[in-house]
Amino acid sequence: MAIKVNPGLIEEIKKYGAFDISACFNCGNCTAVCPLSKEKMSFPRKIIRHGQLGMATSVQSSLEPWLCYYCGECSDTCPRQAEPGEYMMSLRRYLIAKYDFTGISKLFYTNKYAEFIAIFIVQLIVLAGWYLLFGLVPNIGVNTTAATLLPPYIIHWYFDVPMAAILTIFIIAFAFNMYYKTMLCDKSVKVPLKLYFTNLWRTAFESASQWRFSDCAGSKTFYSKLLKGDYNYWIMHFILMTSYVSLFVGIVFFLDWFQNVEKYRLLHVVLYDYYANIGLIAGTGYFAFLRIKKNFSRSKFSHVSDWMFVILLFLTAITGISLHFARVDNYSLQAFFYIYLIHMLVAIPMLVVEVPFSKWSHLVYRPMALYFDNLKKSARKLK
Amino acid sequence: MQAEKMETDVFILGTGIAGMQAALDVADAGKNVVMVDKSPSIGGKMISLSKVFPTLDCASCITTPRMASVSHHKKITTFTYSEVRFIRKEAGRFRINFVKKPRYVIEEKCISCGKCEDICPVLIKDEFEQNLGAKKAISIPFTNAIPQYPVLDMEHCIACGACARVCPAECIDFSQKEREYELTASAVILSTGFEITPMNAKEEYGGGKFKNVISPLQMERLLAPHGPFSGVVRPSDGKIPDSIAFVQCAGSRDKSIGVPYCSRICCMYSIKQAQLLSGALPLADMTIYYMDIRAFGKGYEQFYQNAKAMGINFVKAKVGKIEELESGNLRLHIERQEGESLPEEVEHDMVVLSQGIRPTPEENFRNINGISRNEYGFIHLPSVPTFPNATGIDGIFAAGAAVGPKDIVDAVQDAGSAAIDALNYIKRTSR
Ligand SMILES: Cc1cc2nc3c(=O)[nH]c(=O)nc-3n(C[C@H](O)[C@H](O)[C@H](O)COP(=O)(O)OP(=O)(O)OC[C@H]3O[C@@H](n4cnc5c(N)ncnc54)[C@H](O)[C@@H]3O)c2cc1C
Ligand code: SF4
Ligand code: SF4
Ligand code: SF4
Ligand code: SF4
Repeated sequence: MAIKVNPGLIEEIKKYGAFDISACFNCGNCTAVCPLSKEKMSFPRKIIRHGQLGMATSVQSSLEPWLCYYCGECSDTCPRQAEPGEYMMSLRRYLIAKYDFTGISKLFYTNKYAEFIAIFIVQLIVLAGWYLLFGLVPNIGVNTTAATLLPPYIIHWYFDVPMAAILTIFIIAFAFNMYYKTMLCDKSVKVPLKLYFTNLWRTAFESASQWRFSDCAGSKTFYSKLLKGDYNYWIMHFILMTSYVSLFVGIVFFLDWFQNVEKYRLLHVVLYDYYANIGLIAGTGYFAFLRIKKNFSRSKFSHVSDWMFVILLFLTAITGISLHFARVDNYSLQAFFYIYLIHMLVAIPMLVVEVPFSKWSHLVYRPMALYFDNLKKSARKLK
Repeated sequence: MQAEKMETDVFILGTGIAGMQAALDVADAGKNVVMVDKSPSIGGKMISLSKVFPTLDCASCITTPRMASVSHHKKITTFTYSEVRFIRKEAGRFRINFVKKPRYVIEEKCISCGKCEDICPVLIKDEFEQNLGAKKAISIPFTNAIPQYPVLDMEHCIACGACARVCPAECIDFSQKEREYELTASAVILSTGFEITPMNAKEEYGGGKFKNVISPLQMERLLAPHGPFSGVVRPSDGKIPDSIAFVQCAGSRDKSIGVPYCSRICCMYSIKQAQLLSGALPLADMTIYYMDIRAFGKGYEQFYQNAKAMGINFVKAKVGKIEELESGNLRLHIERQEGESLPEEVEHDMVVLSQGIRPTPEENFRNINGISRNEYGFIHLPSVPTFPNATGIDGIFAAGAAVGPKDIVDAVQDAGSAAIDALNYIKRTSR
């Protein structure tokens, strides 16, 4: 079979942040030490080679980058110091840009200012909407309460729903593109329909628990790893992810309940007031700290998009909490009005820009890659 | 104490195969040579090897005659167990100050009978056997060492006096002092050789920690006819190994340990050792894990092909890490770059880390005024293509593995060329 080669491929990938990957001399040390590279899923050496050789189709149809959790062992031991772990990270950015046929992600990753400008534009739109619906100064009368000043159903229908719709449409389209590139184009295995169902639960468990992180810290026992702090990254990542997902689901799909503390009070207080808020702030703080300290390979290089991710999330959490207290304590409607506005100006652009087009999309692609990988594995076993 | 004054034509530092070759070439041309080595015997690394590639000649059979020629040559004076304090160029000649450390044995009287060694009650690690065997606190360095005088290790000696009582020549002197020499020479040749990469350079390989992960020099000793165990057994339990792995590029071509270059010889000595092992252990499997095989000299490719034909396994894979199992066996993590190219774990009884060639430590050159080292730490040669033995100082030449990775053939040729440079230099400057 003829393979079409794109000699500029490695240079293109390097635009997404890859370190000096041309230094790689293809020894395979990285694959040998990688705790996640198993059986058929052999990486990162092979995919580096494919990149160097310009095999664009092979790179774009690969699931490997999504199965790497950037433990950094390969980068720590690479004899050429070619930073293979950072290459896998760059490939994830590259793939996000390739699944996205609109070209927006690519622009975000390759142009320093594009993401800021995009966020600014969405902010303007949110501001305009807010102005039309509520004005820029709160209209407070004697009987005004938080619920009449900014009725949840209006926020829901005019902000949350359109935003969720935009997100969903893009994400589904991109995810289908990923499915096309990685599954439909792969003629080497044929996956029977039945497997799509039988593999669902396994994938759901693996993605929800992010079990692969547990393999990252070498071959010691579970407890020694726990005590030594080898699992800290996994735990913090898990807390951040679950906090974020629970808030997202609450706000986008159950805004009424989210804002109404009285219903299922205990669940509400425990889940949102404590777990999610503390999780978001502690999580973003932890990752920002790692990126500043740069002790580990995976925190050594920070792309603009990585910082954006952490900062926006942190701001969302802070304004979200202030908003909550402003409403619960009922102290000033004026403050409530403005904090809400600021919160919307941070949260909506963050979700619209980051979720489909930038780093956050890994929330969708990683589980999908796991699913597809499981499917391929099961299909091969059938043979 | 007054320094003893001496004069010579050429001073040679290091008595490995390169230093010996240069000394013989200079002396045969009629000039006087003084040589100094820090170890108690001349011969360098080569005398400790088993056999040499690509001819599989016995190393001691070809090195010992060389050593004898050097020590019997009328024009060559050797000082072993000695340290150079400084080398300075003054008024066109070289002033060399060195000290001979005390062996606590009066060399002039010693008849090398070995009785002191037999009676000494203290056992210490034998460095010549790469710490695989033991020797006495007073002992002749090794069987075919030259000179054949024992060295008393003051650090471990319990001062029982047994050796002094048994010595028929009454030459044990516990109060011997070091002797200082002040030498004037017309030219200098540096042939201080190399060191191998430290075993613990790459933590992932467990060198220095796992008992059955050994250094290539240890394997040379295990294979040597009069080696420490008179046979190849593994250190942890004395078992005869069934499968031995060689990890190529274990201490070279690796930026992360500061040795980015290829050491040239390690592919060849591993192939050699594997061939010798097939003879010593006909039932054992030998596997060489390599990135590329660099068989760089005349007849070397044939040597490699022979090894393949002998059934030695060559696997294209860089070993990523090694784990020690309870049985003492080792588990190697590799990516086998054949067929589908998959990550794999393989098990072996014993592992040789094919360590590379590293420069000798910086102290070696610190007291030689004007000598600089290149980016990797070897002696810097400013005019390499046309004048490959000239150092930064006119009159000081360098040869052998002291200037970079070299095998014996190359070291010997290099030494001859340095000898001619030195002779020409003397001729040019004495007019
Ligand atoms: C395991 C192994 C197997 C090998 N097998 C082969 C083979 O089969 N065939 C082959 O061709 N090559 C082989 N080699 C390579 C060979 O050993 C070298 O090419 C050769 O020994 C180089 O000789 P040299 O004289 O330059 O250095 P060396 O042999 O290192 O001699 C240097 C001498 O200088 C002395 N010295 C160092 N510093 C000082 C100082 N400051 N003051 C005084 N003296 C000093 C040392 O004590 C030593 O005696 C092998 C190497 C290894 C490691
Ligand atoms: S990235 Fe490094 S470890 Fe991996 S194949 Fe390339 S050089 Fe070897
Ligand atoms: S970063 Fe970790 S998981 Fe990713 S390829 Fe490297 S070793 Fe494997
Ligand atoms: S016993 Fe005396 S003469 Fe014999 S080797 Fe020892 S020191 Fe030399
Ligand atoms: S000679 Fe062989 S083992 Fe040694 S560094 Fe070069 S390639 Fe590696």
